[in-house]
Amino acid sequence: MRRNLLPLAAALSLSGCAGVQSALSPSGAEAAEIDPLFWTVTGISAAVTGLVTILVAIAIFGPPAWRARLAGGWIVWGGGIVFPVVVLSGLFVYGLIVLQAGATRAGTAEGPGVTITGKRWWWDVVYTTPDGREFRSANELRLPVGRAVAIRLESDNVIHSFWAPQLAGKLDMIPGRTNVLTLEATEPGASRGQCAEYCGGAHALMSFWVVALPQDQYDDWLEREAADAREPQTAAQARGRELFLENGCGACHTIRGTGAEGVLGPDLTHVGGRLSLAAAALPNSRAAFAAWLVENDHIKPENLMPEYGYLEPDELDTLSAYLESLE
Amino acid sequence: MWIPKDLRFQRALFWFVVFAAAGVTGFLVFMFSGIYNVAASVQHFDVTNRIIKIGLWRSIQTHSGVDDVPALDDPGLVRLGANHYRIGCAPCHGSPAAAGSAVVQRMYPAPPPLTHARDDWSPEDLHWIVANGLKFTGMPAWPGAGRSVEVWPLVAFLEALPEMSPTEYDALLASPASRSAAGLDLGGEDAAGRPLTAMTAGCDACHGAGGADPVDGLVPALAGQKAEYLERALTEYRDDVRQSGFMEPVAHDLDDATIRALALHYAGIDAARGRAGEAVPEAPAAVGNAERGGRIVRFGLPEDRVAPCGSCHGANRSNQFPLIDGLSSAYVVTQLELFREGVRDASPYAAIMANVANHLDDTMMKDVAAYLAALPATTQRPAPALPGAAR
Repeated sequence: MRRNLLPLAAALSLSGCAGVQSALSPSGAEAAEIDPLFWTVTGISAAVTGLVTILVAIAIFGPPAWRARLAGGWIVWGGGIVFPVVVLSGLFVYGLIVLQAGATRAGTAEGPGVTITGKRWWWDVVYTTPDGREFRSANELRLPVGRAVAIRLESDNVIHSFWAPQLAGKLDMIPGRTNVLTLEATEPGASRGQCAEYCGGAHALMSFWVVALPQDQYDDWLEREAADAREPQTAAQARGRELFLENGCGACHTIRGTGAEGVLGPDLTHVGGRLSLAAAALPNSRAAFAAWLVENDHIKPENLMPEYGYLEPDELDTLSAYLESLE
Repeated sequence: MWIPKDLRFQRALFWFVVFAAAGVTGFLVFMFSGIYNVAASVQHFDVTNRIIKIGLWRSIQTHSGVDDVPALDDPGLVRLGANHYRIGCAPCHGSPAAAGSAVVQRMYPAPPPLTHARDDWSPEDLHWIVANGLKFTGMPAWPGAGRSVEVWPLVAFLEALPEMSPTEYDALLASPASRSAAGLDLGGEDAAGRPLTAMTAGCDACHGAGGADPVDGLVPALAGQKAEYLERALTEYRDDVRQSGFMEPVAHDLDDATIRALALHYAGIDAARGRAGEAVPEAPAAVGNAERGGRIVRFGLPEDRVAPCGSCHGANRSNQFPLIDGLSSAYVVTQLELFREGVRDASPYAAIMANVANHLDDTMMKDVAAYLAALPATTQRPAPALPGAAR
């Protein structure tokens, strides 16, 4: 049994190191500083473990002369007090320097920054355009490459923790308080993040994507994202928009330009352009929209959205087609 | 059996066991022999009667009791109670207008005339009896599961019954067409076979005729409501999806065609016509703040996760969502409480509203109700044709 589990456990732990949600493939300035800290601590720990193992082996199996030498008082003073104090103090100071990194870099952040609020169980993301217009988005963070951005972290319910492993360490989102994290993406690409503080039943399904774009592409995207929703291009999409409004979706969701101005749920103005749905619980597809509408409580138990079980299959398809078109 | 002579208590035990065994045997012989006559035509022994009555009285005293009794002299409550009494109670218990059916009078126990029920039972007792029914008497429990508060109009009527003359009773029954009928006169017949006026007379008795105010604030006005919603409401009452001791018996015998005809009839009435236009006076404690309510209806309370009512309840929204402007405050509060308490959440539509109502506290409900009650009723005109395939 154990023999069978070992390769599996090894495979699992290794696969965790290579994915889009791994702190071991840094693509951000802070993560790039955390990475050597991790390897340094891991390396020193491995060396100390090896050394202790050798000494214990000698103490048990070694020749009498070696064992006698190990029995001296120096091993207690040197190996038990001086060595740990020196090594641990060194690591502590090194760790402090790295931890300070975020605070000092906060001064380097340019621009208005982004406010992310932890919801039950999704992320409300507020951007500001260069000319000062604020607008909402959700469940995805886009960043320009090579520029430090201040991320203000808040919560409207319980404590969440914002963690984009490829970019930086974790920082808690605490109700009634704003924590500021400075993120600087060093290379373009998409990586995944996760709420890292248990926040209720669907905590594990509270994830997000971070997309780092070259500055010019980021500026284009920000301009598009700040604009009103795309007009329906087909009759089906137009009918989908009607269904969206008729069924009261606007009570909780905003689609800018349609009159739907709800603020309880995620802003859907450009939902079709995101990498995922429902805080990275689902892929962004028409089928996923339809599934979420009728069985979201099965997908993400106890989330705050009601299930629209009365929608007919053709209505679901039409409504999903409209939402998918909102790029 | 060997018994030590010095242990008298074991001797007593021995005889106790003997008598107990004899008793059980005697009872089994009595039960399985069929000697006991269960005929309704044969009276109980006096002693049996007394034992049953003591047990009944003690059981009701032990189980009855509620937190708050509404003002039972409210004429609206009495009137609503009278109209349900005619349908649900008078066929067995009789009324000032007519004695109960001769067939029913041969039940044992025969349903008693309720003229003096208030002398024998407190309002709490009467409420408990009507809400729960009585085993082995033929007295049924209230048909709307979880809606025992609905019973109070009946209690109010029973409190007023002793002084009520047949003329006064007749006057309470708003519809002339329904006065003579002792039983369910609604439905049970093909819609095509009866003129619409005869069918709607029963509805008008409580809901008000031609856009007039309903008999009591607990009853919703129907005039100008969306036909699809009315059709769904009646269907849900008929199919025991939505709970109400008033509406379920009425809807029970309606076929789909009748339901559709009724829905179209009420949707087509101009809500503004016939309404008194004055809010029914209510106790100050029950009245909410209409200004706060207006904010909730239009904008919601994002910090409390309350969605704005107007997002779903409007003329250009789904025809399955009812219009709520101008509904009485008592009706709105009652329904919101039912949504919140899980009594009204069986249909997929109600499940959504139950989710919304879960975020409302009592004050918010009263505020919203106060705002809606003060609005003029909106009418959806012209009445839309129903889709061919009903949901």
